[in-house]
Amino acid sequence: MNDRDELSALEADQHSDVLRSRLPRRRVSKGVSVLLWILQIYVIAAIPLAIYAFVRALTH
Amino acid sequence: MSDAAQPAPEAAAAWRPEREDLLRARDRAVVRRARLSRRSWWLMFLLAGPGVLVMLGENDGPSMLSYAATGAAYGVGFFVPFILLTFLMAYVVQEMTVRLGIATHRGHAELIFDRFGPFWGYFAMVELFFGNVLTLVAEFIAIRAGAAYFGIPAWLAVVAGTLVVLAAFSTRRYFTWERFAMLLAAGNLLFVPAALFAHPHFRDMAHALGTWGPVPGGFTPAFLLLLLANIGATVTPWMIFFQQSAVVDKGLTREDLPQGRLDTAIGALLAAIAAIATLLACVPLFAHHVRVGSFSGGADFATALHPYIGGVGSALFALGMIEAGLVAAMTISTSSSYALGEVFGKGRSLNLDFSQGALFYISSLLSVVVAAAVVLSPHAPLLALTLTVNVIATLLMAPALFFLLLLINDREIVGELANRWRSNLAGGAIVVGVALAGALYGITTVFPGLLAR
Repeated sequence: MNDRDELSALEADQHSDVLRSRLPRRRVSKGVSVLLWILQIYVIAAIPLAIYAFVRALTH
Repeated sequence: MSDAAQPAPEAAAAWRPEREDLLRARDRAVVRRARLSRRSWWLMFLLAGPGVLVMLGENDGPSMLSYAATGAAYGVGFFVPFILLTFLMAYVVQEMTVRLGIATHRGHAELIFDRFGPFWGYFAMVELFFGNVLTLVAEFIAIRAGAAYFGIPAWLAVVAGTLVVLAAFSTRRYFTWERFAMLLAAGNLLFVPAALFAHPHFRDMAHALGTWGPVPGGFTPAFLLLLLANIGATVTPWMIFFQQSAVVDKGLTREDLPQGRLDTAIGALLAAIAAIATLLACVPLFAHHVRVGSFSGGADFATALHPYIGGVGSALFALGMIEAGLVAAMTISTSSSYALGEVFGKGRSLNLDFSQGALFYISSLLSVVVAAAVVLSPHAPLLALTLTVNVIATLLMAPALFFLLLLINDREIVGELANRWRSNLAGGAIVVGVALAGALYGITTVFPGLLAR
């Protein structure tokens, strides 16, 4: 069995050259955008809290 | 083979298939033969992997410590059925990643990058990488602590752990890496014989499963913290990224979906058994009123258990801790590499050669070596680091879960494998519940006096 025969075991969109192409961007509704930003702010606010917890654990 | 993959006639002589494609195709050919021969057990054996690994990988060092602390503080009661419930939640979440991977043949980080744009793609990747590097430190702390029980020096334990993780990568073959990791992950079940040495009362277990009780001491802040810690020990961001990328790397297709689901369910069941066994192994500490608040690692638990479950039982417990850290180090570092490759459009497969997958392998190598170095630093605040890792991991879950729900409802890329209303209801409830629990856990860890007021 040669290489091409072996590759036939893969589906068309499983080949790495196909996978190198990017998918198109989706349209994101305003509601989803707002939720994503809320979550981003949540994470940005959370990291300093975690650093605070780390520093506090060091000093106690 | 796709049209895009067909070489031009004049280039045919020079054409060489990509190693990644060829190795994956060979794995798929074995799967196809197993399917045609109707050997369902063999087929399941071949297709199992991502689900079992993600669930047993999540039974990592900090998670097992959390289950141990739960058993020592509350004995057999409410937490036995609760742990089962958390793994049911984990199954619901992880099953979505199987469908996403099968439908798109693309990893989670890549889908966020492509469908929501580079800003959100980089943001998700940085979050994942940040949380993963810190979690890796916690895994090496578990390896070091477990080895300490056997008198193995810290440097030897950490160097050996690093070498095992790197040796698995050096195979440059997804299937070999996966089988090696699964073999190690079977060690998670060492907690089962350790629990049997504690002579658990199965009537108490049945009572706990039937009544969701008792809850010794009632619903105190400490109870709530353990409740949240147990939720945080079951669903974390790296799991979503890892399983979807592993499903893609393994090459699963739509006809493999039933086996992909079963793989995830078996993983959840095995992980739940190991988690409950860890709790049961520590019940003697509850019965003898041993205070575990000041324990800092698996070695402390193993040493404290020695008089109650014997030398063999406590040695199994310590070995289980080493295994938990080791398997998680393998899966977590791989999830980081997958995400980096996907976002930067570089190679993202365990089937890649070192030259093709330089970013993939170097990023894993660096994260593992950095984590190992931190753990070996003489003045590293290991206990504080473990605490911070848990907080960050739980806080970062909300965005990852939200992106998962958005993507699994994106019919343009998922088609008929998109969530139906029941899955969305269950998934949505879990996302909201886990996100709130994560936030509450983070807040109460940062401000421990808040609940006491």
